[in-house]
Amino acid sequence: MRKLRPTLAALAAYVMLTGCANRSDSSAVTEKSVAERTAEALKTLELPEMTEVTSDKLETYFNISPADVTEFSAYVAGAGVYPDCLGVFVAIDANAAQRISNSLKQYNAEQKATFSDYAPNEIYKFDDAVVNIRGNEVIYSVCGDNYSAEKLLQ
Amino acid sequence: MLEPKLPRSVLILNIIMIVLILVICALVINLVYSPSILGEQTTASTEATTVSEVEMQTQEAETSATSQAATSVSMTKRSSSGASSDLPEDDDSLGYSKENFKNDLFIGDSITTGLHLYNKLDVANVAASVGYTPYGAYSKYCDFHNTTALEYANSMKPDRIFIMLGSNALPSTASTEKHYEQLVDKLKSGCPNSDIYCISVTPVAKNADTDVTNAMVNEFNGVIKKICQQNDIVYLDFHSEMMGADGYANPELLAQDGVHFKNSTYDILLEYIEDNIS
Repeated sequence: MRKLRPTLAALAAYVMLTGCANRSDSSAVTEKSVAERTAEALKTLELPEMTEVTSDKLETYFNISPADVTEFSAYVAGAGVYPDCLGVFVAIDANAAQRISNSLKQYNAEQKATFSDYAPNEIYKFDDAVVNIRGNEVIYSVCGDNYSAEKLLQ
Repeated sequence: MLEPKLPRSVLILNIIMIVLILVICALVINLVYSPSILGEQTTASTEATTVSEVEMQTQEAETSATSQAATSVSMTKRSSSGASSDLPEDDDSLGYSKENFKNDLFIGDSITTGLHLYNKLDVANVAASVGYTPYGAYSKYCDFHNTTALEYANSMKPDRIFIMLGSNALPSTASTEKHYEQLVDKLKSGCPNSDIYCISVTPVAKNADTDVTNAMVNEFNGVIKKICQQNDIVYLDFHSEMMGADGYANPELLAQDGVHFKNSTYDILLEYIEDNIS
């Protein structure tokens, strides 16, 4: 039994270190910049021609205060007949993230109301629209595959 | 003094139990510190409203808003900055200069919104909205300016006004023609020093996703031409620039729906305008 104790202690240390190593490895693999994530979503998803939302339009389009955002990457469909929109917004803090989320939900609701009259065949894209807060990040997606979009933007 | 020996079976059971406990501890550590779980927990603790709840609130707001005659649903609460932000830098490969349009105003519908969506012009140079018609241009708010396109033009007093309307009013009726005439008349009154140009309704592609036909488009363009002649206004026939050999719009210029423009088509439009206006 005396010989067994150090063996078990070594085994315990190995298992716990392995767990810690796995945690840090997995976080390094998934940490992409916001621009990289939206770029991958644009490349992967079936979307109409999209155009980048520049910083001067952040408040005009989405009613998001630039002071609430440290960085963002967002794209909208350039042709007015499509409601598609993808975006990742990094807020300065949790309160700002909540404000951004509220603005995007409002934008989403307005867009849905517009398209229900103008292009009802596009309404399905709003059915599972994504407005999610993840730490200080807010993810927004309206497209034909919001499930995949959310995974790519996270 | 020798320790009493434990039975072998008890020893083995003890070892198995210890190993199991260690494995469970390792799994728990992995789960607790997993980044995805951390994000979901934050989402659960900070999400106060759902998308559907905001939609309900928006519907209630719309009910009160629709009692006002000159309010449209989308993007009415946000105003433009007033001052024009910097235009995108000129690209030498383009056949036009963006700088030449900085004091102009484009009034139009969803096709016209592409001018600012694709960053060809600033939002301040576009008074447009999805579904806009000639009547809507002086009775409903356009996007971002918290006013009608007419009122925005009257306050802006642009050097040039380009009207790109008609697609949403087809097939045209006597009312459509009257509304277009009235819009031109109101713009001439409100912006007496502005040069007004009417851009033709653009053609649709074969099998376009619309009930609008090119016969309807051609008919209404005839109406627009007549209004321009009566008011001494320049008619810009961009329609002809977009036509293919088969009597339909060149699909290379249009989005998937066969009606709206691609990004590059707006460059062609602005170049056409520059080339055809002295």
